[in-house]
Amino acid sequence: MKRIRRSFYISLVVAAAVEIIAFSLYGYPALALIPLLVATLWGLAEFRQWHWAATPAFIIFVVLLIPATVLRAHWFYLLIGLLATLTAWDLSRWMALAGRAQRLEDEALLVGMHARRLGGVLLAGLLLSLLGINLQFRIIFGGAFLLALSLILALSRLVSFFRRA
Amino acid sequence: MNPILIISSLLYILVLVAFGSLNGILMALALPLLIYLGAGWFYGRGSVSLRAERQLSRERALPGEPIEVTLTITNTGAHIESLLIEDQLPTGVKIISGETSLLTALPAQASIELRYTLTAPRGYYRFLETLITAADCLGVRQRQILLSTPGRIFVQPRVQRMGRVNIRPRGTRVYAGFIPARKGGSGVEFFGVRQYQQGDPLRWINWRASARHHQALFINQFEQERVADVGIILDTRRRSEVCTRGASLFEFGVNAAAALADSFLNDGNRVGLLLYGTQLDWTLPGYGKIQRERILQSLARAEPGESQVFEKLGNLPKRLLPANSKIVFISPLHADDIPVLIHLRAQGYALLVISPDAVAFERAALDPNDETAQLATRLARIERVLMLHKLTQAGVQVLDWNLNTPLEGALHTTLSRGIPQIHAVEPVR
Repeated sequence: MKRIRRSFYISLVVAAAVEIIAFSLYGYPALALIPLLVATLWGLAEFRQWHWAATPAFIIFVVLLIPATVLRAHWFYLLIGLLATLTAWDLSRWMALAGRAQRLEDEALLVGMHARRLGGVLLAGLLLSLLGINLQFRIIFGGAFLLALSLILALSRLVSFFRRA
Repeated sequence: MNPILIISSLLYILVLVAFGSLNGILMALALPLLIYLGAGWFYGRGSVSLRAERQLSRERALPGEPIEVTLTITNTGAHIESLLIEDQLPTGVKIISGETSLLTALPAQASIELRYTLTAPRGYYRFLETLITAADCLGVRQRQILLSTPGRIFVQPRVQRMGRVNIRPRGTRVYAGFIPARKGGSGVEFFGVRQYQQGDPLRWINWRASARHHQALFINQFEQERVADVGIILDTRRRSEVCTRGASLFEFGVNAAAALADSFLNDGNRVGLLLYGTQLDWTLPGYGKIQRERILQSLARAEPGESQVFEKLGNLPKRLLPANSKIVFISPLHADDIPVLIHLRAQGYALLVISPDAVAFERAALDPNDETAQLATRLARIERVLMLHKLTQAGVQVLDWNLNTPLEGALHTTLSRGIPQIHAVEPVR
């Protein structure tokens, strides 16, 4: 449990630091206060075991990536920030689940399995994102429109399928 | 909040903004979230099928006695990566060792045990369900199930062993017992003298009486001893309950009812129990150990409650009580109970009222130097003494039970005074 807690705080610091640096470097230091404040509150809430705070903080962190992108922050900061935020949120949820149990049966196995799965997801996400960012091709407007439409449609179907399942 | 909903919403936002702003980076940023969602779905797609069994080391216990609970969960479906088991405990129980919740990974066909020990105050406790949260490793696809794991515990009141309680109801039953039946026959106590009849034992001949009469023999008769019907009525009305500093007056009543029922049943009597308060909880009269168990279970369930119908004693169902039986009414008493009790006495029931002293009980919790409390206590005591006096005058045996004295001693003193002989009583209006 200590390992998970330590990993959570490291992820939170990385997520906040990356967004703060991105906003500061690209000329909007005032905006950097938001991730700083949210990260502080999230960290404090986690310390007090108020796990409900994780989800709003996660949403704020991810949504803050949008203005950072608009401000033309470097994609590397954003990608690392997103992965760190996702890690912090995931670990916080795991701690919430584990906190409901009075006993963890074979804790090392549970933690190890979780770490491996999360590591795999993060690695796959990183690689695919890198591929997506570096892969550039030109398409006409109609093609882009159709692609966007089909993507949104596919996403909707996918999400509704997940929810149904 | 459902993680699928959160990640889906964020995915939508990122994709829409990416299209709106023609920014491919945002689209690329959506990919880790999509993979997270996909991994959760992929690894958590198996169905959850579990079997649960609860074992209790004992179903009946005394207050404070440890009871061991073992909950076995068997996975009859696919491998579950993350399984949170939370046993739903009935309110009032106290865990003294072990755990009531557990997080584990459970392979197919494997079992896991949850063990804990609990104690509980007097009461009836029902275990109904166990909450199961099954999820994939990342907790994306969580499914909550309430598994039925029934179990019940009766924590019965401690039965204080009492000696024989000497009661004299007007009617007795046919079986031999310890209660004087007001009938001549074989027994211990001298009852009277009658003329000798063929078959009478010679050692019963009263030679003095026979010597006074010519050609006639007289024999001694002894009072028959039989068993009787006893109805115990426990007042469970909320207004009769007094709680001070964690102690409850009601508990004294419950313990008294348990002790009396045990004593009467040990003497072979037929005993019934009526809990009068929230509803009518009537344990039909019966004999022996099974009846003792029934009564103790009923007392384990007893708790003060409110009901408009049973707010006053007037709705006491007299038909439930066998005619000419002994009625033991356990209550702190209220002024409006008195006419009903007198009426009951007038109908021929031998009535014994055991009234735990609520005034002294409450006074003990108040500041002894508080003058207002002193005055209030005096007034309450006067009112109580008057009430009890009315009952005594009507021929009701009354035990004004100071809770600092054991019930057995107090009862012995009251019963040794005998029953006030009242031949006709007009109910007080």
